Amino acid sequence: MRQLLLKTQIVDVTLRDGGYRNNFAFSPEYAVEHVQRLYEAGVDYVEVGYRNGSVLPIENIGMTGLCTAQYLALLHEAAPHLKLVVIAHVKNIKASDVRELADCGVNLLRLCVNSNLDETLSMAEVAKSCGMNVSLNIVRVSSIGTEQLEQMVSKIEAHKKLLDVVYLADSNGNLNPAHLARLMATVRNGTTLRIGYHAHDNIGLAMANTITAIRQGATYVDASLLGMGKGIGNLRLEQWIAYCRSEGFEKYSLESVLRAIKRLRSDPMFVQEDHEYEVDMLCGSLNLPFTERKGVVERLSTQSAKHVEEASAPALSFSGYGAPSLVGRLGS
Amino acid sequence: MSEPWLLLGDGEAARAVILGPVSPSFDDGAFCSVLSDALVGRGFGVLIVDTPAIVESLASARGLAHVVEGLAERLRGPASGASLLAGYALGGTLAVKLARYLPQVPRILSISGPGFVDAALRRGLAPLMSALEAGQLGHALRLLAESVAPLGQAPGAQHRDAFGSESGLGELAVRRMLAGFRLLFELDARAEAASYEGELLGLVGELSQLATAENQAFTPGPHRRLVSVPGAGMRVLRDDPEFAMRAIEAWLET
Repeated sequence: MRQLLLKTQIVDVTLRDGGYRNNFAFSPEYAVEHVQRLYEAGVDYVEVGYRNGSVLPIENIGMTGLCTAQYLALLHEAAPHLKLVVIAHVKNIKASDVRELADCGVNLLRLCVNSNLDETLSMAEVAKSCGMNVSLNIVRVSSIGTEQLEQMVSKIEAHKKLLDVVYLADSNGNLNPAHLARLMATVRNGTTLRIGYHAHDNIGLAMANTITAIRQGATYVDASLLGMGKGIGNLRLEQWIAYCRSEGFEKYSLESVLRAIKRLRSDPMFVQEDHEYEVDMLCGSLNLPFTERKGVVERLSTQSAKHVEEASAPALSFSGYGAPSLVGRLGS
Repeated sequence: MSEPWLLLGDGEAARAVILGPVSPSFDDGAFCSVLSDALVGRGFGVLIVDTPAIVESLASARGLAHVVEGLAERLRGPASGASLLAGYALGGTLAVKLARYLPQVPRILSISGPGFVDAALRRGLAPLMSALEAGQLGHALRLLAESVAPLGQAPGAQHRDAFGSESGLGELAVRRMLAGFRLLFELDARAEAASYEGELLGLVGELSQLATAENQAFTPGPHRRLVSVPGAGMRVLRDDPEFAMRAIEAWLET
């Protein structure tokens, strides 16, 4: 396993995925300290936010939901050798946004993709022409069938000169190792691009799935401090680094990450969100995207979990963005 | 000197290589004499490398991004068969970086070598870089002496770099130092340290202002030993040569 881990890179997603818990309202002071501390911990990439918002409009979205040039310049100055990552939904950005990200020193642009592959590839071409590394993040991958994934990967492979990485993002937190291994095989057999994995821990499998992804050929791993991310959250960065050390891979400083955790916990914008734990568990178990949370919340308030499961059964075949209504908190 | 290095001891091949720190001129190995003497006493041929001379030459010819690769090429001949690759300050960082290119070397010793440039080191070196970029060599050397002395202590003779005022040499000194520090700002040796299969020893001064336990390329563990030299600054071999050499000798015996 150590030999496999030696090839892997960590992408911290705290400022981005963690933003779902605080309306993306991390302070500039925190963001600066965050990138410095994670660089010192040896983390390879830090994703610093969304460009121009998430998949759905969010009222009064904060700094890490917009990634303005001013914000990026601040971070670049604070940690000049850190590889900064920005993620975007193509519907939210124009070519001029991509060029500005490149001018601000963003190393890796990640583009969310699900059913909008053609327009996403067009934007990838812009990013590549600006000299950026480009990743296609296939979101809600647990809802994509094998045949559909094969078709996507085939098209991605045909455009591989525009790309560096293809990600499987378990946005719903639904995958188990066996399912993930099948998806990984499909991607690995269809493309020579590097592969990344983004875990959500809704059913407690973020660590197991990430280890599976590495064994199946992934070389990019997403994680966040304390797992701070949408819903139950992501793979915990500190646990992943501790795991790496247990396998004899000691590139990362656990001590530095633990100091970063202490700083995060003391920040007023840190949100240890667990008051909707039951909803997130069910969403993960039922493979429901965040857009279905409203219904789950309502049903949970009046029915037993078994009834919720029965009532939500059709959503298992969910494949689009669905209704944009949100209840309780923000999500992606 | 036709080559930017010095070979000490018997034997045609060096069994130990010591990469020097950023300095205005090569001091013929005085910076590490306590170490090189000990290694020669053990029967090692010791190659002491004027690192800034090679770095400056490679940076001018190929650009900073290719310096490490170029250095590996330059050393591949003289360092073939070496059983110890050591370095001081920038040289220590480079010794770890070279692990990728010289994987057969079973031991790497980094003396006050930052593994990467953290925020504290960047702040510490900023005034020095500004002075060098302004061509103020005298001021830069004073700042360097203050930076390598233990925290809170005035620099002594062992922290100052002797440098004459011969015509033309000042410009060369500035070029050497600028190239060396600019390279240091680009280096991150953590991946190389993680993949290195041999024995690693890092020495840092307890009161060092630049290379610290926090910015090393590795954390202590099996095959990775990090020793803090009590009361020392960057120049551990001069601030406390007995302690530093005891640590090195003990490590060489393992």
